[in-house]
Amino acid sequence: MNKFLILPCSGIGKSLGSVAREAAYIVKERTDAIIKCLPRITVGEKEALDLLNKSKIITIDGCPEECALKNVQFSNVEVFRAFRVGKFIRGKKLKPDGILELNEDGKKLAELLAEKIIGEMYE
Amino acid sequence: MNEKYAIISCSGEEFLGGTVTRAIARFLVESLACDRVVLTCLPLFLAEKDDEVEFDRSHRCISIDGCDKRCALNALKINCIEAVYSMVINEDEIKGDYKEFAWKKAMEIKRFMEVESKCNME
Repeated sequence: MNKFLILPCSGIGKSLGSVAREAAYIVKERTDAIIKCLPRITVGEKEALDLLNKSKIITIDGCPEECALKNVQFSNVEVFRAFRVGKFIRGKKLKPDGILELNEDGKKLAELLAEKIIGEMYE
Repeated sequence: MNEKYAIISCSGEEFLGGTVTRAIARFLVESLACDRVVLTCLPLFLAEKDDEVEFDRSHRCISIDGCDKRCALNALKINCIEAVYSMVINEDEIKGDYKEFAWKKAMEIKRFMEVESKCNME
């Protein structure tokens, strides 16, 4: 079976991006999924693109720009699941804040998102 | 050319070096040079290519990479943009708290900007 490849957005400018990045690290810790740098795909690095083609890809984006998802789509590769923190947070009374250091709500949201992702990986 | 610098860090998720570059970029924009730098999101180069690339063409760019693959610098090169300063993090140099290391590297970039501004004024 192909391995899961997690591609979170870089999370450089918004708290929701940091949540995406944090969720990706939690999924990696608890499963055999691997993480690759999104910029390697952005610049079209061959090794990274080859890996895309033989993996089950999960993208985790922070905001509606959906950089992770779009970068994969530009490579004409199918995405197994695409998550967006901005959508996932709806209905939850959490207010993530901070970028380099997420607040407690941000960490909680990352945990909840990671649980959802892991649940969908093996359903 | 705009007076502000565009910072493009790889922010790679796979290696510690990438996390360090992300911290350097944040330290610059939040504390050390908040009135002089603007962050560029590297994956947006492809996702929203025109706006982001045009933005970087009109600013002096500083690339910060977390490994020898130099994705940030290469993203600029692919779009025919030359960096005025490029930094590559060597993970072997990172001892102890990565944020302290990132702060020192951010200070290096701040010093570069100060020297360059001084030269331009002269």
